[in-house]
Amino acid sequence: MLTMDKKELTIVNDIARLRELQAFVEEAADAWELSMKVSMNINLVLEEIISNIIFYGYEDDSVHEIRIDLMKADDEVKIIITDDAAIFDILAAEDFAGNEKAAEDRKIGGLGIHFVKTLMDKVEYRRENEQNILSLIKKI
Amino acid sequence: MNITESKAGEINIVSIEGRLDTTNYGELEHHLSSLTDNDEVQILLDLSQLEYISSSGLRILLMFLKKIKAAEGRFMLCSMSNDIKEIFEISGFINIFEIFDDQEAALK
Repeated sequence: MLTMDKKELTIVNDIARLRELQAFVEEAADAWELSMKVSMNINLVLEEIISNIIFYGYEDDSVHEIRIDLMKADDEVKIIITDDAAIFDILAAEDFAGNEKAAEDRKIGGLGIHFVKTLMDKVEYRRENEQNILSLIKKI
Repeated sequence: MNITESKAGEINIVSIEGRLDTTNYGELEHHLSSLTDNDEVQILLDLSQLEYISSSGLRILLMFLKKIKAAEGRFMLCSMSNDIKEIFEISGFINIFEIFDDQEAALK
């Protein structure tokens, strides 16, 4: 029987609240004895996704909630981000590969997306009940 | 994030300690602008105490690289940890910055 530890955080769409995200990831990393590198990678990917949602996802000025679930199994951490922002399929979004083209000319917005796709082992997106549900898996 | 500054000849050494992310990149921007606005365009960024960088932090570094190059200055980085270096590699930024192992190598 697979046992899974779970932690969840709900933050509102205010960029200053990203600090809570950092504390949340650090707390989970300590509790689950994750390496510094895994912890940093999860923190980075969450910052990129959540800031993207907060900056570009909402067309009104209302308060919205973004929910983050972390689940740890033996050899991986699963991350689920649920929001009610505009449809955004990260898998279909513009990325850039780390190729020869001068990074100076690249659209910087694509960098965060590139981090998500590169640093995570699995990325799945679905739209359900007018919510974006992004599932990520990081092997540990 | 803590930012400290020192000077070695013409080179301004700026050391960053802690995290450089979406919530605080403005502090570094402000600090570097105060140098470039005074035509101080020989800058070495010591990243030995940098624990975390996100795309917002990288974006600021890229902005100053362009600005300093345009002013015919030099913007160098040194002493990054392996975890930070990996982020530079994945982003492709490893190839566009002058990166040194330590201050000594950069100042040579």
